[in-house]
Amino acid sequence: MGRQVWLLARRSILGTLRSPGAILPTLAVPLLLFFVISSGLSAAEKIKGFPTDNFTTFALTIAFANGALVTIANTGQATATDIESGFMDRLSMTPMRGFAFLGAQLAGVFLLGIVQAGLFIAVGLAAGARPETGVLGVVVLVVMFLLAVLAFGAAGMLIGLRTGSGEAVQAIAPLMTVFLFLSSINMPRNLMEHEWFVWIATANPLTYLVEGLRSLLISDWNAQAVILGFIVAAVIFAAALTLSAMSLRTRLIRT
Amino acid sequence: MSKGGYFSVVRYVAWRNLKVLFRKPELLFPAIMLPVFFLIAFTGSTSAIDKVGEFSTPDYTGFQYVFALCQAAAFTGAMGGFALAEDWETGFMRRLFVTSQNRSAIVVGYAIAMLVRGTIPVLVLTGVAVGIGMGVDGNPLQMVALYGLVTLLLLAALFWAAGLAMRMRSFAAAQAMVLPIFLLLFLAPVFVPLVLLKGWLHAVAVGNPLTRILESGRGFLGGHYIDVQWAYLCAGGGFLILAIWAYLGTRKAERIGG
Repeated sequence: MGRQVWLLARRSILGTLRSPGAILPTLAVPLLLFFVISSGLSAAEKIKGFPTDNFTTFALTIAFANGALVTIANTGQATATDIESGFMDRLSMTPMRGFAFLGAQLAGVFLLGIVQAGLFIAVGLAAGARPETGVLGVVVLVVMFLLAVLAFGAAGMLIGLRTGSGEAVQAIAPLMTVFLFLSSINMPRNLMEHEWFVWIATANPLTYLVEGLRSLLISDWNAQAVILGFIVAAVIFAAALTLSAMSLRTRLIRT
Repeated sequence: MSKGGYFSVVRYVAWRNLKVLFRKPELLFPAIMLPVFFLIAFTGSTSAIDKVGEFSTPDYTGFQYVFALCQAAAFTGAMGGFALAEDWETGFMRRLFVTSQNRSAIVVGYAIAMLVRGTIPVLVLTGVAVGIGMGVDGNPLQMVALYGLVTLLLLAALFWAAGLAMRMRSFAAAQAMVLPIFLLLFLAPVFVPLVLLKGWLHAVAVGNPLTRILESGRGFLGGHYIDVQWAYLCAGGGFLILAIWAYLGTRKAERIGG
């Protein structure tokens, strides 16, 4: 089992590193959104009751949240390519275990997640962000972010396994960014003026992940927000991985 | 073999594209859903920001509506480029090149089809915006001027995408069609008017032609005239330059052999 995971994980990591077309969007798109939102919405810090006077720190959350979401395209595309190229067919003829395949597929995006986290923190600090919870808070932020990377990476695998099509993955993945904007990413919920949008944001699980990540940046330790953030990431991870395992079983039987 | 005249090619290409739309209505989804989602998300989440300064629209929904309109127009134009690229990939465009006398008629046919297609997202967006409380202070002439700007923007985006499709003749051009449009949209005053932007984004937005179109369009909705000449110069200039770009792309495709 260990050797199976290692061989497939090495393949996933090398595949990620050899694909600049997959790496660049995961680094550039979250940073672009961070720069655009932090500059475009900076006037929000003048709103009465806004939780920080440093909007750059507030907006750094978007780099982490979007950075985790874009991994859906990476694992989804990799899985769909494995199906389209016949790699999955060949794998089904070996004694490989399903969880070895799924765990290994996540190795590449996990490694990429570490690079993303380092880059986002460095760029955020250079742009003027000041995390309120200090070094320990940043460590917890990175751990929560990496759990979110695994969660959305698993969701990407699920989409790849269900559709078996790279085109479908590329069509579905950008929609996830829209769900991010239907959360409290741009404004704290208590400052939203439209009640109907407060309802949408409250019902959107991404809100709790966003608020967990953001609490580590803009306020002193807020245990409730941090715990909720971890719970949402863990639940998405567990659900996506379980459904992926079921889809993989079906896919291997089908092939 | 007789070749089709200019208007018969225009009519055929436009009608064929509209027939594809009736068969595959899901093709409209990106041009409808993304702007509608952004309208709802930005209006719902950030409307409190209209307290920090003067906005030219009666309310924040209207401010975001004009941005969503521009987004819908630009994406509809880009979808025309996607359709063209797909027709190259399937080989249909080569046959069309053989049978038509004047190849620029092909691009005009796509433009007419996309203009018709563009009315659907505009109607949906307007319905949603009014549904969530958008107010309108502009007079009928100002509203015509607003939709005139949006029409020019749609055609400019289409000519940009068509020029690329004629040069690359592959669906691989899709990313290159959309990325500059996406950048132009988000490097403009999305959340607040230009005057409230700060730092590097203000400097970039000042030079972004879409900024004038957005500011003027929002002015029309609010019953004001803001940078109207500049807005029409940017939209009309973009339309003309990109129409030449598309025409030259058609000539290049002809030289290569269709």
